[in-house]
Amino acid sequence: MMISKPIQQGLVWAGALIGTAILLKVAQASDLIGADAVTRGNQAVMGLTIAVYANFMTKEPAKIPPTERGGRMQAARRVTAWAMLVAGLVYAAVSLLAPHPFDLYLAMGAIGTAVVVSIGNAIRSLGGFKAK
Amino acid sequence: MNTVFKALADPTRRRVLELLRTRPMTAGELAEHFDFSKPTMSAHFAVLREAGLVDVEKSGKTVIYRIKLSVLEDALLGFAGTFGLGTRAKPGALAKSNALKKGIAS
Repeated sequence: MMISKPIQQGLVWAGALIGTAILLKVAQASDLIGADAVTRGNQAVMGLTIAVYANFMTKEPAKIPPTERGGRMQAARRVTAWAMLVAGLVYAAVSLLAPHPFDLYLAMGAIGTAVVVSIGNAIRSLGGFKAK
Repeated sequence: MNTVFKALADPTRRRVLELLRTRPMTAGELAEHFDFSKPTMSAHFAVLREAGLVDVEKSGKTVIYRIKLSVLEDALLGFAGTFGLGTRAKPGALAKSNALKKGIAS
């Protein structure tokens, strides 16, 4: 059975996430790091996952038409990718560095802001479609 | 990654990507923005396609080009454009160079 490339990449990335989580747990069991570091490490990896996925979001093939509307669709994808990449990096950074419990609020705030920006931009673009 | 840097080093190819940023375009629409010959433009398109920076779709007689930049490649394009990296190749130089390479290879 052939597994498509995106699924292969997804499986590899999932393996890396699980592997990191196991490594962190082993390090905790060996008294090398504390429980807080395990949580922060896993959170940071999740943030990086979001950033990596966002980076390649615009690489995904899409049948965007060569029209003005297509341009708007393309721009919406680009804004979403940039917003999610920045949010993922912020999520990873604050998960590692910000004091508890602010790390959680800041991390979720970053992702929430990116989602709002993405949806807002998409709606603005849709409004543009109707106006044409 | 080397092919990406090579593709972004040329101002003409960067201009092509900037045009494609606005919307997907046909090969003809893109060529209208440049004074280069068809073979030269084709050579530029081939470099971009090889680097995976554009997606090509044949629709009947027309060829549609779509931008396919990751966020980091997008940032790199902006950086290269801001600092004006690379020098503009003489018209036809790229096509001649590719023809020479093909001649050597065969």
